[in-house]
Amino acid sequence: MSTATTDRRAPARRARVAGRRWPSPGLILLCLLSLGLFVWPVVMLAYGAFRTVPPGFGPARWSASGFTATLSSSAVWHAFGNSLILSGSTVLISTALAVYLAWTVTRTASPLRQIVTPMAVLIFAIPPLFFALSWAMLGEQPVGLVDKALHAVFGVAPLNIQSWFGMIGVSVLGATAAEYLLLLGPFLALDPSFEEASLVCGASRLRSFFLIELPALAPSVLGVMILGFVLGMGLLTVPLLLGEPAGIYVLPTAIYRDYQAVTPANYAGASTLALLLVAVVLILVALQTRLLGRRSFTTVTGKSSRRERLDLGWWKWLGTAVILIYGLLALVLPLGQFVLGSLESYFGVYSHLSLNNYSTVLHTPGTSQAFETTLLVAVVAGFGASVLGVWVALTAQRSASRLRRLPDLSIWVLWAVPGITLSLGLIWAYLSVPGLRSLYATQWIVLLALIVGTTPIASRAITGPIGQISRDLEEAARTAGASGFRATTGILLRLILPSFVVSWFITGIVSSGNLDIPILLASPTNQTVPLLAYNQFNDGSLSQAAATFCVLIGFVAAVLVLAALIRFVLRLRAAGRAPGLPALRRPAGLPGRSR
Amino acid sequence: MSAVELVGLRKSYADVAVLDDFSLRVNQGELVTLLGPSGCGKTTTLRCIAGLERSERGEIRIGERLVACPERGVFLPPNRRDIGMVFQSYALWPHMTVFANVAYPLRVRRRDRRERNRRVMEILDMVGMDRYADRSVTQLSGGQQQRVALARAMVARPAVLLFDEPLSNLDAKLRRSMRREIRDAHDRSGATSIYVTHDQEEAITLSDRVVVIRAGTIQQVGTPKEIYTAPATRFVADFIGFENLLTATVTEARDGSTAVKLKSGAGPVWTSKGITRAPGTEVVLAARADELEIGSLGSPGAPCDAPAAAIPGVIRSRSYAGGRVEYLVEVDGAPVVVRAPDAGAASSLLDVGSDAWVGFPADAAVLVDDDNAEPAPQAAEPAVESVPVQGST
Repeated sequence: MSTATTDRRAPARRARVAGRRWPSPGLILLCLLSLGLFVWPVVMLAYGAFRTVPPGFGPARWSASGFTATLSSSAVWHAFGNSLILSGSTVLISTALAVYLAWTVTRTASPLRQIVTPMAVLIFAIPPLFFALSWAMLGEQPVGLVDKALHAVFGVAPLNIQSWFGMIGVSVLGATAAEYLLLLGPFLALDPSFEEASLVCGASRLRSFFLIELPALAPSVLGVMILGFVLGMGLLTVPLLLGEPAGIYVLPTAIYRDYQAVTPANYAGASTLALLLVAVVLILVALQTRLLGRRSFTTVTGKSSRRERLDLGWWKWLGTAVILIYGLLALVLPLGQFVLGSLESYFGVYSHLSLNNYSTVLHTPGTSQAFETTLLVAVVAGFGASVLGVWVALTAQRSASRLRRLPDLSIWVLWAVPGITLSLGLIWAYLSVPGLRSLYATQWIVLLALIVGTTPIASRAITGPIGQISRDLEEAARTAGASGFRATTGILLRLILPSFVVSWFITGIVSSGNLDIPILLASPTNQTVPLLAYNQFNDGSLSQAAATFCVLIGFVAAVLVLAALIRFVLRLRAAGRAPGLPALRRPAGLPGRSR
Repeated sequence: MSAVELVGLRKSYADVAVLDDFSLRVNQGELVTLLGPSGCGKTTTLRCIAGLERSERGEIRIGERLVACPERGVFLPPNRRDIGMVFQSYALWPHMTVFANVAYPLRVRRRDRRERNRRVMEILDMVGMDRYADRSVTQLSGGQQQRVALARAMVARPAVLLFDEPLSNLDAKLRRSMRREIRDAHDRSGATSIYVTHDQEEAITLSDRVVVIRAGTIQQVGTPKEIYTAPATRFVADFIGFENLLTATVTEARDGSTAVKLKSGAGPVWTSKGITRAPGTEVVLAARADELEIGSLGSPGAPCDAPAAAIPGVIRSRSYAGGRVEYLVEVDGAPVVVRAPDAGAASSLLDVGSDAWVGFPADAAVLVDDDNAEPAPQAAEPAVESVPVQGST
């Protein structure tokens, strides 16, 4: 609330009073780096819309003809409308589902509520391409599992997955998990006394939820919706696999086609479409700012929440049913189809199951290289993005210079260029710089692009926890006799470490499953696993695509299990050191008083 | 309007009993304070009465209604208990205006809109917040938020008002004025009020009766005056602000007065206050620093002004305490605090290290039972912190 806001601003104000006037060399370097990495591609996107010569080729010639031609094409506006419909309906349905799930998990006693979070983490960790591919396979007529099942039951298969219905449905499955994870924090953090106050005022629990808790959570829900809408507008994979075959184009697939399918590539057209997308995002962000300002109603209190769960009677089984159906559609069926598909020698032939596809995938040089490339880019890109995230967050909160907010703002710019738009901007940006041009079609440009693409995620994961580390802790170290370097490394960085590792995990996993960037930037000799699987799917080798993806998912699952194990061990150790200290359950062991 | 009655209440967290066999009757229209250190179970008691917490055993009655009795499977949810509550964190809903917050209890009771508006403005006027009706609650100061929370609790004229340390987040000056306002509001409403605090001054000045709680059990129930002047046990004496608690043995008892000797044999000290016990019983002599006397024993041979009931000691420290001088005197191997009037002249001060006598004027000390109490923690409970979390964007 009001006092808390001032608390949060206090360190920065203090720093400004005590600090230097001139930016340090480190800050100047970071500012240049941020402008180069994050702002430059967006600027180049606009530049590309008016340039008639492909990137990297000179001399530049300028014309608005590509821009105006694109904007006057009815097909473009049709794709634009389709994007709005796809993204809008996906967000509405998935948000409703995510709010229901978050409410079920945090407030009710529905059986199986404990599995929702692990399930959501798993779904979030699996790349969207997987869902698109597996549902394309599930609905494949006449051999997909769901298609066969529907045939067996109804005699006909009314389900055509390559349609609006399939596109929205599959997008909802993935989006729900992500939105649920984003909403879980605010749902848990909402001051329990808000609900209690409503109860003692005479409202029932259900009424309290709709009159008090949900409105108090509205800013969070709206924020999640807008983020979901932006990401939905930039979503390439699902429309590419499920929409395009049915002749449904959205902006990202139109951009991809302009770039990939026409020779010579229509750079100006693709860039113009990308600008259209950016415009939508900017309008949305402006709308959000206007509606909410920077308000956030969610507050955390020192009191541990010992709230009782809502007794819904028989209605609690509705929650269980929703959880089960969601798990079935989003995890069990796609995974089952994939595992089964990967064992089939030819997709749709259910006899003669074997591991042949796996040995092909692992022993073909082109494909085993894809795994090495993916591992490399995931680990390094995740690390790079997280380092940048820490550096930027520390600068924004601890530096005294006026420039300290610049890197953070540059990262925000990236939210305006979702998915494939960023890839296009990066092509413009890197191909116009002579030194970087030589990186084209190497794995290094993919790596660099993934770092840029995942830094916004790393920054979100890290900024919050760093903001909660009180400046007093470092100052206490300084007054205890530690040097500035020592206080930073021994206290601050040590406290940041858990958030850093979490961020590294998330960005690494997101990088490994990303298709938007390699699909434009990688060459056949250095493709990543998602691109490989996509190409295999396109070539009709569905079983091999399934095997490829199964190996990747197995790997991601192993990483997740490892992470869970490490967390478990750390918790045990922490519990051994300080038995029953609830504060340790806070993420990242943040300082904070509790009863 | 109703009395509140608790019989044999039990509540535990993870097998640790927070309340055990807790029984209390709060009469209709009374304001009773639950006083005790943090973790003593006072807030848990309040939350059980509100229905925010389920007791494991025992009965809770509000008026004629049995609202909780696990043995008989009775549990009335909070929204059906006809109560009003002021929370420590105020718990004002940030997405609503002042008016909407206060109108909420009437809204959920489906009162007619005209009556609702009239009543809300009436109660806002009463707490002096009528001018702020259209403000967002996040724009208010702590004291203003407190007033709105009070108005919200009272607007529907509930039979019972519950206060959970409502003043602990305010500064000292504001706390005193809000205390008066809460008392006025209680008197005007005619409701039965239960007020939880760890601040003994608040409990003494505000309530009709004070209930001192320690580790889930009631130590003493009495009027503020009884509690203040005649604590029953060493724990209560310590918690209510008796600085000096000396172990002593009863030597003589006659005409309602008792004489005790300290451990070293110093004494006797006579008092008619507190418990009476047979000679030979071990008791605790409790005395406030302000009520003791002090004087110099002088150098050997010099005249001594010590009265008969004085105990010798050595001055260990001296400090200025606003109009008085506070001495720490070592008596009988134990520290005794004495705050003597500051005569002004430097020569009247006693020097550190010098021998002194500590006098116990008749009835300055109270005899209490020794319950082997650990000294009550002095520190106030940490205030509830409110930190915004990163809004997801």
